Amino acid sequence: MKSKLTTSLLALSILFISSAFIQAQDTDIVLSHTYYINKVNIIQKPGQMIEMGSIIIKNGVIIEIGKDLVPPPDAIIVKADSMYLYPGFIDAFNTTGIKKVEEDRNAARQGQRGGGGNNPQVPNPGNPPNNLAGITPEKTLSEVFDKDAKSTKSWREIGFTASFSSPEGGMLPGQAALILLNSKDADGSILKQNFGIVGTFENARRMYPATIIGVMAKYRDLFRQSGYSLKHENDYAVNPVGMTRPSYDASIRALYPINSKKLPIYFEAEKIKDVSRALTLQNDLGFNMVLTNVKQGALHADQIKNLAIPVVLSLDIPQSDVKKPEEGDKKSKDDSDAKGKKGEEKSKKEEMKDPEIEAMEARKEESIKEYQSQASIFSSKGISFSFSGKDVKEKDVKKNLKSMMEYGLTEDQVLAALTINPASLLGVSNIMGTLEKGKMANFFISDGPYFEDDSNIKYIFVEGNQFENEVKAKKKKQDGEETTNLNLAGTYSYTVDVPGDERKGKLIIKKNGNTYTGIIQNDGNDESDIDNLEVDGNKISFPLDMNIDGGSLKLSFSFEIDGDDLKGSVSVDQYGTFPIKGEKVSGPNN
Amino acid sequence: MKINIFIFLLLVGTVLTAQDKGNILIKNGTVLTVTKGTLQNTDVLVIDGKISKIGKGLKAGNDVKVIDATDQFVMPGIIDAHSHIALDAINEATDPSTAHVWVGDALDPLDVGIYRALAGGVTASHAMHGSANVIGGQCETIKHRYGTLDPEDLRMVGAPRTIKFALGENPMRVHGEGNNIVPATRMGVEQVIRRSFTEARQYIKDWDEYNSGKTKVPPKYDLKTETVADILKGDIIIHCHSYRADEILMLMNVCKDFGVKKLCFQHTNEGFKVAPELAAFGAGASVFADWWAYKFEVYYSTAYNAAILTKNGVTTSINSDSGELIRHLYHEAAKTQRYGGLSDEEALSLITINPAKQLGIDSRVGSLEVGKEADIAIFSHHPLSIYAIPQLTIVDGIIRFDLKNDKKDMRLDIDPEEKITIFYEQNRHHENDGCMRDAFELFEKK
Repeated sequence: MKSKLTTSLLALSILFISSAFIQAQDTDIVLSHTYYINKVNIIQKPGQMIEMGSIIIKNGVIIEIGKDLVPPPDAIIVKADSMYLYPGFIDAFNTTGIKKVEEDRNAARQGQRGGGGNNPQVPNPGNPPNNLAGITPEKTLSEVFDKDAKSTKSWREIGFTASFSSPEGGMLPGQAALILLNSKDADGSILKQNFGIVGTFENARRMYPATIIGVMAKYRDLFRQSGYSLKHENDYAVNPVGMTRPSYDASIRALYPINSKKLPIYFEAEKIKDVSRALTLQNDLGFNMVLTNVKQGALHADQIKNLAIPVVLSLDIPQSDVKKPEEGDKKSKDDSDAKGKKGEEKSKKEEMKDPEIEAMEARKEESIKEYQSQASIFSSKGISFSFSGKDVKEKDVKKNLKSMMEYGLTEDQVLAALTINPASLLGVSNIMGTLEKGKMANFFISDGPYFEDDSNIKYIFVEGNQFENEVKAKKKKQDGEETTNLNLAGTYSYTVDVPGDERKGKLIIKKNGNTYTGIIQNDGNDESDIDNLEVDGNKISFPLDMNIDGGSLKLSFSFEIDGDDLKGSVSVDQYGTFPIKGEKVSGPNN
Repeated sequence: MKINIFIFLLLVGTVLTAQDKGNILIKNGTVLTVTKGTLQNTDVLVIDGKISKIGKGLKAGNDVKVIDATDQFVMPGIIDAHSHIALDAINEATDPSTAHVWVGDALDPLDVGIYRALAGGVTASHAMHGSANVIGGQCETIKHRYGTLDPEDLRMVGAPRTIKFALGENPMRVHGEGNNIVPATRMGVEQVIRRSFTEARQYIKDWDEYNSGKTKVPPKYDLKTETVADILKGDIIIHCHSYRADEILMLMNVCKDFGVKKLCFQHTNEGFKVAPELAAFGAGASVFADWWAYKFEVYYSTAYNAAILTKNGVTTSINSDSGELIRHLYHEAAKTQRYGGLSDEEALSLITINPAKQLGIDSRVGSLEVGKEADIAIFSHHPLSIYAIPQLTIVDGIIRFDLKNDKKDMRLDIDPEEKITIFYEQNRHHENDGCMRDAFELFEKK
C-alpha cells in the first residue's frame, strides 16, 4: 500500500517535470532517458493491438511492452491516455535530410526546357567530367547531409521516424543511407550505409548524356567498363609484373559491388516507360535491382513478381479535382431567390460544356483512378511493397493512403508498407518496423486511430527522443462563423498560367471584423474592387468582369491560401480553366 | 465507396499486347500483292499473325474473324523508312559522333502518332535518330502495335541493326557553328567519319589481341567505338541523311575504303545526279516525293527523283520524316506516276517492298505472300487514287486501325494532371517530331 502511494506520488512529480521538460526541449536539457506511457492502444504491428497497454523505453530501446506495467522510478511519464501508439513509419525512398540547393534545381528546370540555366560550360560536351554530368555513384549521403534540414522535421511530424534517403541530381546521384529523423548530426542520425547506389533516368544539361538515349548508353558504358576494370584490378592483384597499372576512377569503382551483384541499384522508375527501361537495363547488364518511387508500375507487376524485384511505390498519387456534389448546398443562408438564380446559371453552364472536353475530363478521371489503384493491384497479386515519400507533400500523405484504400488495400496492408516491409527491405527488421521488447523506440502517438480524418499526431519518439507536435487550432466550420485565428489578409502577387502567356498581378485582401474585401490589379491595368469575395476557411473565391481589348470577359477565381502560398485556378468563360499561383508579399498592415 | 480491384484488373487486362497474333480472313478484295501481281476477288487468310493462304473461296474456322473486302483494295502494310514517331528522344546532339546511343532505348508506345500512321495504312516504320551529328545514334525498326503500353512490344524483333549518319549543313551547324568544333565544313564531316572508322579498326585489333591472350590488360571498353566496329564488321546498315551529289559520292568512297557495303541514303535530293553510281554501289535511296527548298543545300531538287532512281535500278523508297506526311504516303507514292510515269507496281513498291529491303526486313514484310507477316492495309479505292481512304490496318493479324469502329479518343496514356482546354497550344500532343528535335535548343546561342 505504501509503495503504491510513493509510486503515484512519484508519478505525479514526474508528470510535473515531464511537462517542464517538453518546454525546455529546445535547450537540450534531458532529465531522463526513460519514458513510461500507459493506457494507450499500442499497435505493435499490422493487425496486432494491445488495448490500453503500456510501454517503457530506456536509452532509445523498448525495454517493456504489455499491460499494466509499473513505471520505473526515473521514468518520464507521457500523458497519452486512450490514445493510439503506432510503430514509426519508415520512408523507403526520399531525399529527407539532405541539403537543398534551390538554385541548382531552378537551373535544372530551365535546362530541361532548353532555356539555358546556369550550367557550367565544358570544353567537350560530348565527354564531360562525371561530376558535372550527374554521375557520382561514389557520393555518400553524409556528404550532403544537413541536420537542420526542414524535411526531417516535416516528415517526422507526420509519423515518420526513419527514412532511406538519397543524394539527388543526375543519373547516378550517389548512395542512399538509412537515417533516423531525429535532427541530429550525421553521426547521430545515419543508422546504416552501404546499401548500394541510386539510379535515375535524369539527363545532364547541355552535355552528354543530354537525353534519355544518352543516359541509357551511359549506363551500358559505365557498367561494362566497370566489369573490365574490376577484372583488370583482380588480375593485377594476383601478378602485376608486366601489366599496366589499373587506373583509379571513383565512379567506376563505386559500381564494383553492383556489378558483382553484392549490392543492388535502387532504380527510380516512375512511369511505365521508366519501369520498362530499368527492366531492359537489368536484363542487359545483369545487376540486382530495387524499383523505387514507382507511380505507374501495374503493367509490369507480373514481371516484377516473377523476377522477385523488390518494389517501392510512390505516395505521390493524383487526386481528382472534380468537385463533389454536396459542396453546392453549403450556403444554406442564401435566400431561395438567389438560390434559384444560381441553380439556373449552373445548368446553363452545364449545357454549354463542350462534349469533347467532357469526354476528355472523363478519361482524365479514369487515369487518376489507375494511379490510385496501383498499390491495390500489387497487393492483389501478392507482391509486397513499401512506400516512397519522394515527390509528395507531407500534408497529402494520409489523404493519398486513403485514396489507395478505396481500391481494396486494407489498413493493415498500408501499415505494413510503412513499417515491416521497408524494415525488411532495408535489412533492419531486428530493430525496426514493429513494437517489441528490445527494438528501437521509434513510434508516434496519435489522439485517435491514424486513419481517422481528424486524428492528430501528438508525440513522436525517434530512438527514444521525444518530439511534440504543435497543437493546431481545430477549425470549426459552422454557418456564419468565421475561423477566428486565420487571417488571410495581405498583399499577394499572383501569376495566371494562360497558354503562351503568363498574366501577373497583385491581389490585396483586407479584413474588417469578420468580413473580407479585396482589390485586384492585373498586369498594367487599373485596380478594381472585388465585389463578391467569398471566404471559406482558407479558401477564397470571387467572380470578376474584365475588359480586354474592348470586350468583356467573365472570370471566376478560386484558390486556397496555405501559409504564404496561394494556389488554385481561374476559369475564363468558356475558354477553360487556368492555374493560378502566388505568394504573400506583405502582411495585412502594409 | 470501395471499388472492386478485380474490375480494375479486368480493365487493365483489356489492353492489347504484342504477343497477340490474330487470325483473320479477308474476303473478296482486290489484292495488290506488289510482288506477285494484282488478284481480283481474292481472299487472304491470316493464321497466327502470318499470311497462310491467298486464293479464291477460302474457308476458315469459327475462331477466325471475317472481313468483307468486296470493292475494296488489300495491300501490304505501308513501311516508312524514315520517321521519328514513337520516340522520347531523337538527337543526342552533344558530340559529332554518338554511335553509342540508340533510339530503341527511348521508344514511346503511348505516342498517338503511331495511331495516326496506322490511319494512313502504315504498319512499320524506321524510328530514326536525328541528323544533328555526323554519326548519330542507332535506329530501331518498329511495328505499329498501337494499343500496347510496353515499349518492348513495339520492336520488330530480329530486324537488322541500323544507324543514322548525317552529312552537310545539320552537323556543320550544330557542332561547327554551335560549338566551334569539327565539323565546320563538308570536309570536316568526311574527316569525322574517317577518323571514327580508323579508330574502330584499331579497337577491333586491340580486342582481338586481348581475347586471344596476346595482351593481358583489357582495352578500354567504349560503346561508341564498339558500335562503329560493328558497322565495319557488316552488322549494321548505315542510313545516311544527305542532299548533295558530291557528299553522296564522298560517303560511298569512304565506305569503299573501309569495306562497308550496307548503305542507304536518306533524303538524297540530288540522287538523280548520281543514280548510276548509287546503283553500282548497291546503295538504297529513300526520298521525298516533292519536298525541298527548306534550306540552301536542298534547292537543286526534282519531283522526278524517285522515278529517275528507280529507272536506274536503285532500290528506292519514299519516306515521310514527319508525323503528318506519314498519314498519306500512298499519295506521295502516287506522285511518281504524275512525275515519271511509274507503273502501279513500281509506285507501290516505293512504300512497301523497297523500304523493307532498305531495312533488311523484306523476307518478312513488304508484300502479300504466303508465309509473310500479316501486315495489311485495306483501302476504299486503289491506294494510288486520290479518292483512296484507308479502312482497316492490320499488324500481325490484329486490327490496329478501324475507320468505322474505333473510339473517338484513341490516346493510351492520359496525364492525370493534364489541363483540359480548347486551346490547341496548350495540348502537348503535337510536339515537333522532326529530324532536329532536341538539337537546336541545346546549342543555339541565345
